[in-house]
Amino acid sequence: MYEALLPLLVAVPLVGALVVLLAPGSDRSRSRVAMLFALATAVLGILVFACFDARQPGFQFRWDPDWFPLPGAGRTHLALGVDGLSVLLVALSAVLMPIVLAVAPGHIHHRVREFLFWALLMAAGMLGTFLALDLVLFYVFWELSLIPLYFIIGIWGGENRIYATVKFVLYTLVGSLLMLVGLIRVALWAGTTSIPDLLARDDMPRELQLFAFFCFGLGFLIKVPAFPFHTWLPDAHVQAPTGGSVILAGVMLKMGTYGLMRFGLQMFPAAAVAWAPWLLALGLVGILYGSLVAWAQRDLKKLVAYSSVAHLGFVLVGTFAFTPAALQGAVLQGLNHGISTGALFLLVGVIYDRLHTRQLKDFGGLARTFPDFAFFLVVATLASVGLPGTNGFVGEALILFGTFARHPWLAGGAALGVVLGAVYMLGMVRQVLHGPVTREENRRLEPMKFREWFALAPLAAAMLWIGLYPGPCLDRTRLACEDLAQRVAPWLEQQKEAALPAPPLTPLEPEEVR
Amino acid sequence: MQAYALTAADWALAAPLLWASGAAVLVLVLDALRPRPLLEAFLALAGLAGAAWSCLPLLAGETTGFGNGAGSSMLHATPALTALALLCFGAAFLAGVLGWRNLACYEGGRHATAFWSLLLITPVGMVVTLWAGHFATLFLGIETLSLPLYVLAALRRNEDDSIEAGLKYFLLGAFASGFLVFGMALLYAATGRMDPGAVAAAGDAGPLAVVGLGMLLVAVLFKLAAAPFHLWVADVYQGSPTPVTALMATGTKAAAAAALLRWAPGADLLGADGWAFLATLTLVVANLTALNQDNLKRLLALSGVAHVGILLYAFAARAAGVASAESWSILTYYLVAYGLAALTAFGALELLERHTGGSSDGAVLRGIARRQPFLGGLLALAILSLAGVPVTAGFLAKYFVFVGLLQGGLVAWAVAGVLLTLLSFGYYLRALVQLFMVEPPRARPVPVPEDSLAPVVLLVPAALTVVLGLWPGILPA
Repeated sequence: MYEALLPLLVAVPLVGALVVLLAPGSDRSRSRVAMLFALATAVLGILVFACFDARQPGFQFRWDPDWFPLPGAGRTHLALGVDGLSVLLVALSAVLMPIVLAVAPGHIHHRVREFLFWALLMAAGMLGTFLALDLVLFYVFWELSLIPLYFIIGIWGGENRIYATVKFVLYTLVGSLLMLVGLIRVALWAGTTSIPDLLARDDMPRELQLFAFFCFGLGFLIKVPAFPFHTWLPDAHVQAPTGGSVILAGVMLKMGTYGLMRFGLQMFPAAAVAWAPWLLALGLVGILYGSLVAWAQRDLKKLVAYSSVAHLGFVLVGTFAFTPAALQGAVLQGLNHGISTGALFLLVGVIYDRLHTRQLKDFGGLARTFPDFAFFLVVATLASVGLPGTNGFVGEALILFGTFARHPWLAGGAALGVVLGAVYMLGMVRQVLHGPVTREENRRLEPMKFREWFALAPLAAAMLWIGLYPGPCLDRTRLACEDLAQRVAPWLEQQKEAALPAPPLTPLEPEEVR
Repeated sequence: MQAYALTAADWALAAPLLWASGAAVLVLVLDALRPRPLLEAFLALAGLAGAAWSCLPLLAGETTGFGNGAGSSMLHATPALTALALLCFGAAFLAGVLGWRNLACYEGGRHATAFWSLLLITPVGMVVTLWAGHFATLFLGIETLSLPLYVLAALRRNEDDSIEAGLKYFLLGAFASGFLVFGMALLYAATGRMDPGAVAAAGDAGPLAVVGLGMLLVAVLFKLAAAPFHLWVADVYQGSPTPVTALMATGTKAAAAAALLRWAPGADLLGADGWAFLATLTLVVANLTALNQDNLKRLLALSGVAHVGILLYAFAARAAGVASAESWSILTYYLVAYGLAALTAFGALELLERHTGGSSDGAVLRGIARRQPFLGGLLALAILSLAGVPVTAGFLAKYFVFVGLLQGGLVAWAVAGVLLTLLSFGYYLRALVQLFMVEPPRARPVPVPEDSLAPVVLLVPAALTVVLGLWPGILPA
């Protein structure tokens, strides 16, 4: 009975986008219609999360109609499905849509119709990326989610928006075009593009895995973004309108970490083991470098952007530590980062709409003059630094515990990142909320509007809910993460054995790769 | 000498050609007797529609006609070639609709008859080239498509750009024709044959045949605008009236590429790496030149050259051993996808140019999508398809080419091609920036001729771009 769920989830925002684009009417009524479609998407997303059976391994709610024939690789399918790796991200992407549209009137003053069209199209693209069970379909959605953000940043962004948006698209494209080459080679080798079929096979030659991991992995690392591919992120975030930043931080970056798990680990485990030391190092550098740079920022939005680099370093470390606990932590931290950083970007937008500045020195003492803002900022900050009782704690703790079991020194280094996180985030709270009120306009701040409450309250509730009762989220990811760890395990063993006499980099399957 | 009796297949093949050329003759006769501009336009468009309609039965299977008794036939249609023929007639139809309010009225409509009759003859030449099964028909086809285009390019005879386009195209085109016919002569001298077998047999027929093959190859590569024979493209595409450019980009490219695959001069001469090198060279040259272009029409012209580069990768795949049927389906899909995108792009540009007084300079088009959201949207869709973004046909077209390359084991060339595609995003994204993301200049609105038909007709290639991008299977392989 659930077969229609996932196609609906992709189709509702898609139809919404076309309706908004083509239907006549005023901008006001169009915004309402778009909001209706976004709310329907959110409800469907929550439904997927609620109906997801945590005890059943593999993909659920499968939908699998025929699409078109491919040269050398059978037929493609419009295959959709959800499993433990994607279910949290699907719910997050769906729920963020009405939130993004709710805050849009604060900063989208012109070309409203186009904005609504691109926002809904992007929702369809992102949801499709997480749901696609076919390589070609995955690639289609992956690229489809890129173009809307190109226009959103380029049209409604800040002063330097064109530089930022072109840089963002070109960076991302380097990765995705190489991914296309890897994708075709894998499809030609297997004779199929179905992801479940590919996952069921464990005879992919190691040489092909290494090649494909490189092609796919580069695209994902740029999207995450891992150090040193992160330089597009601060530009894009600072120039993007609030809604764009929320989507970018909340969902777009997760497409990278999701891809690393789905393809990097699940499809190419041998290559993942071979590349793991490098990726762990990149993750650790990302944590420390992101934290230090965030500490040095004087611009609130840039600070939040660099904190993303640090948080995603944690996700990267958790992913390539290969223990079930660390993997679960990485999946959960992906959701957490979307919620807390999404909320932080919303708050930056709330204050920017009123004061038209993001410089930390222009704030100060806002706790007294803008108490509702202060409340949400404190909650989001505490979640972001991982205070026990918030969602961030659960994710970071799992990653650190899981990593410690295999790489104790690395876990120690990552823990330093937690401390640094507290330093720059709490320092930011002190500068913004406490101290004397230095500027006259900071005394007369309009209280938060209903739509801003509507956007922030669910996120704050989610932070506390996941922090206090992470069970529902963790249960749903457990089987998938254990499966990932199992896939990697034999290759880890082999590497350990081979490491004793000689370096292990010999192809295990001599079979010819086309 | 025995009289030749026409068979049903002959009639089926001749019907589209008769529709279009018959309409051309009628237009000319009508003009001589009693000029009626509206009737001429209707006649021309009806002739093109009839030609397309009479192509439809040929989509069902292979048709061979006009046998010459020596085992070969003058015309030979396959479903894939017929699909390309439909594209050519469609392109001419669209060019007619676009030129109706503008080009046909140039100098008070004095050249309307020339416009309509030449517009009808051009696709006849294209289709004959597509279906040619003999040197005679191949040469006839290429000449019949070229000569009207030389005139059409120079139709705005009071504008320097247009004259330059016509003259340049004519001089260089005449050169290429010389190469073509001389190559044919040498091949005939060496092998004694004039059918595609002549080219296939030329490989081991001595140096004379090899020289002939090379000349044939150069002539077709010139028509296709592959580097290093692409230098005329930017000037000719820019100087020609935009509806004519649309027809040139779509139809000439389809005819020349199909001829190149069908006759395959140099398939063995160059080898897989040779073809891939030629493709990469074309891509590099076109992309580097386009990156510096400020004029949108020129940019689209160079994007066309870049697409020829990718198209040549399909020939490399064939030379590397990818099955003939598969290379045909790659090529057909690519040409149709490119043709639809180019028609949409040049068509939208033509309609936008009416608002800017005929200019397609970047500075004039700044932010125009804000004033003309519908045309801007169509142009954006076309540019995204040319760039190869999913959901448009342009993406799958590139995808199929790269599948072919990897099937042929040419991994390094595939990576090079993919990275060069990235380079092309540099100018496509900049074009979108210019159309959408910058403030339009303050300019007095130009009076624009009333035209409600062209935007509607333009929806057809735009819609097909998306439909074909989602369901590529509807195209005959």
